[in-house]
Amino acid sequence: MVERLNAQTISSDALDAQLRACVHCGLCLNSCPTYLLTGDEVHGPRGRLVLMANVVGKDAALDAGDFSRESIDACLGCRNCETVCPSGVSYGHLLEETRARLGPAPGQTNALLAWVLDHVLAHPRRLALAAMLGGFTRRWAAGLVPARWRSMLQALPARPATWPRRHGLAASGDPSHDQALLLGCAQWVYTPEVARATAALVTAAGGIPYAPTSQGCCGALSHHNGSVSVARERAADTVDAFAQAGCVVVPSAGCSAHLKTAVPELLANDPARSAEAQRLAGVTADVVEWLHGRRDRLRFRVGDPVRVLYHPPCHHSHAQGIRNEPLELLAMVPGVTVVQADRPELCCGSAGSYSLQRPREARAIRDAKLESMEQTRFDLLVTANPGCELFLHQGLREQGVQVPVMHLVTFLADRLDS
Amino acid sequence: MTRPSSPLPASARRDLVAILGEDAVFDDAVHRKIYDSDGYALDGVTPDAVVLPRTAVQLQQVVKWCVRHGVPYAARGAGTGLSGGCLTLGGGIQIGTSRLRRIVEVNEVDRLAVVEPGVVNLQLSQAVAHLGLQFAPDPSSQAACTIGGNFAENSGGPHTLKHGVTLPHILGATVVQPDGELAVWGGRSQPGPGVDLLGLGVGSEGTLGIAVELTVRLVPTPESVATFLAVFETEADAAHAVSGLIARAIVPAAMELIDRVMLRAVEEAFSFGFPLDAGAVLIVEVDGSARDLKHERPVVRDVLNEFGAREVREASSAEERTHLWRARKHAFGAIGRMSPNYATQDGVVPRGRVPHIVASIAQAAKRHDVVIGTVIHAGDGNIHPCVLFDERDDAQVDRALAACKDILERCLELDGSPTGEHGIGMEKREFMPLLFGPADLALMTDLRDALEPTGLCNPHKILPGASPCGELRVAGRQVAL
Ligand SMILES: Cc1cc2nc3c(=O)[nH]c(=O)nc-3n(C[C@H](O)[C@H](O)[C@H](O)COP(=O)(O)OP(=O)(O)OC[C@H]3O[C@@H](n4cnc5c(N)ncnc54)[C@H](O)[C@@H]3O)c2cc1C
Ligand code: SF4
Ligand code: SF4
Repeated sequence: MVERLNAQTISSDALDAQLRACVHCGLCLNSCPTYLLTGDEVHGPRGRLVLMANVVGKDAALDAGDFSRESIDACLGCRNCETVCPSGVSYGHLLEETRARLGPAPGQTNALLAWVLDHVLAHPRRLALAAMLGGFTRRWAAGLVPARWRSMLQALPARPATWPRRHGLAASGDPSHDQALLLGCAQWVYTPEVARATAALVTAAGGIPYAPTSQGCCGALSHHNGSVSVARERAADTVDAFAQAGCVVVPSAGCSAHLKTAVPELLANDPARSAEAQRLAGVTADVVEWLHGRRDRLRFRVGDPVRVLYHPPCHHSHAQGIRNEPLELLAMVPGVTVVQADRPELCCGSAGSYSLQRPREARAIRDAKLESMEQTRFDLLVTANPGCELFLHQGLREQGVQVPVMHLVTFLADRLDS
Repeated sequence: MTRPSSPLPASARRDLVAILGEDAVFDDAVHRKIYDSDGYALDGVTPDAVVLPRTAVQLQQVVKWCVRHGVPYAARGAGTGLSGGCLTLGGGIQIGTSRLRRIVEVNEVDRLAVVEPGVVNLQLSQAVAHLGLQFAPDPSSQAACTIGGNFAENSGGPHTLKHGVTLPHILGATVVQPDGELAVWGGRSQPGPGVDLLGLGVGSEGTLGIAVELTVRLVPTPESVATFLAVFETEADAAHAVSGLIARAIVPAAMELIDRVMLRAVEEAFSFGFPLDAGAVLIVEVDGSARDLKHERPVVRDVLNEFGAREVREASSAEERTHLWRARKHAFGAIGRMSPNYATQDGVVPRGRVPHIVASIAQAAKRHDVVIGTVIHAGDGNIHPCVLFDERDDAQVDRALAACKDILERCLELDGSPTGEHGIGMEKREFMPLLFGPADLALMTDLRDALEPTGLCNPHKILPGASPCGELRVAGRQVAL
């Protein structure tokens, strides 16, 4: 425990000062999917902030056990509460600090998951192998798996995994001009078309994409999970892999958010890398943001009329303030009508590794999301984060709905006027 | 009479779990800590337990159990209240309505909705927006507070200037009375003959029973709306403009004054583009038919200019208007960026005396050497001064409290009241003898005792008198008041 508590990245005083920004007004309650699900303030942002003060803050008065652990673990980290908070409480940051101090959730399933996040996910090839094996096991040998791990197996994406390919992308480029792509981990393995589409769109917008070979997972998932030391290693590897890149384009909302804010913080005390991490954060753009900035160079062909329901990832809306850009890009495509679900800003339940860790809650939150979509007719579900894409896809399939689900770039690239 | 808070005895827990199920009865340290306060408190009152019923029947059974076992209880909506109304002073059980959030019926023809008490104010307005209807009371906390809480506090909001506070918008309520029996107050139309129990219930701060279903009036959303932002060099000029507008027989839908300190906080939070060098701004909204507006628009502009507005801007789109109101409504929260603690007060003066109270607030700030940011529902003279302080500095705390007291007493001197819409709850009981004579208070006490003979339904609130030891904490709570 002592060792874990040392994993914090800021002092207790600094944490305390940030906690004080919460004036207990409760305006965030209704923005919180876990509060909406349970009606219990222990699972709402205001309650969690009280707990943070009482478990890891300076006046720690409560035990870090039972309900407090449960309350923090059950948080999606979606940061919708942060978007609506008038008092400027940095909820996401406070959550990461708290999780760092508490360490990964206890329990065998969680330990396995942490191990997977830390040691398999970080290596796209290992992940591909594991995912293929997992898919096989689910299909043919689920009965052999201990019951407590079966839910995790069921939570595997409904899509088959593929071997990570480079799609003909160069390994290096001109730092002053070209765009280095971060291809991600799960995304690269489960939705390989996203890498292809990103390359096509960047090219169409006048860029020259390349993909540094030594890249792996950026560590966002381990970080969300409270594995600070692993997250720090991934951050260091990522910074090394992209050293000198003049522009990093990231087709996953979770990864772009991580590169922009968490990586510099994680490496703040790494003398060899802190400056480079800062610089890289400054030249990192989410693919949607980057394309939006160059949208006048994009031409889309006329296609069949289609109603596209766009689901905004929390890592866009709440972590990076990217809100209108995806809608505006979609609206450029002839024949597209963009629609949104009721309360689009609510998380779909995927939330990093949440859907693997807490499948029951994640599914309930996803069901609420899917229900809110039922009110609207749509032919296609588009989003911009691999987690949301895979999780929503799985949810729709389970309900027997055959609507295609895809990443925004996949859709846009398909409609490019060539 | 009172007892310290403690977790439930095993038998009580068993009974309550039998009624509600395991996942709705909480008496662990974490729940008791988190539910120990509402919208403001940093310090609070620890409940013995929190229960979260899923149906009205369950809620009623819990009340019956409390009556049978002599356990006090209080209803809790979203806990955004600002006077400790939902806290169980002297121990007891908090009964949350957060799982009772169904909209049971929307009737377009009768223009009403039947809702469970935990339905969130804004959720209702959004659900009926496609019919061109809305629930008119719009407290600044509307994104979170519940209709049950609005009913209990008779809440107001910026737009209740024209449409009236909650009272006229509640048509009927099904209430679990303090004795545990169900009563129906009012109905589905305007009040009929007989004693107006509903009128008594609205604003009774949960002391006369718990509403388990409410029938509320829906009003049409106005055909046209014009929202002006007028910038003034001084707060006094802005305050005089308020009287000027009313003297012209214009009833704006809303009229809000924001002073310089608040402007800075709000600007920091929302980057609206408020001029930071202004003494105050007034937000004036008029609504009605397109024809009404054609007439009122120029009048509003003229009056604002006449009273010395340096600049009058009109919101050019619905988005701009929404953004402006969002900025205004989140002013309390935004002030949290400027100071570790603040005390928001809630006083009322006759609207003609807004300029007087504005001057008095400035004096109080000066006399006690504190920073005060103020927003005012100017149309109905409801002032919300926020006194900033740092609770870690005792001297500052004392000065802040003294300033609060000065301002509220000044409201009374100006023939106003020390609370407009946040309720008396436990915070302001000591002001009641200043507001009412002994005979009035005795009558109120008799009335309450007749309707609430058990002494268990949100006891020790509103009326002064025998208070439990819990009051010891009131001094502590006022820090955060
Ligand atoms: C930032 C902020 C801004 C605010 N702005 C305004 C404003 O503009 N105007 C205004 O009037 N108020 C305002 N308030 C105060 C508060 O939001 C209102 O009083 C609101 O109506 C309380 O609703 P709630 O659901 O949070 O109730 P709670 O705080 O949970 O409870 C308030 C009282 O209602 C009782 N109660 C709750 N549910 C029931 C029920 N079903 N039956 C009987 N009694 C019940 C409780 O026992 C308690 O006494 C503001 C608060 C905050 C934090
Ligand atoms: S986090 Fe923000 S919105 Fe939520 S209670 Fe605290 S100050 Fe209010
Ligand atoms: S991050 Fe999301 S789940 Fe967590 S408290 Fe905030 S709104 Fe709720």
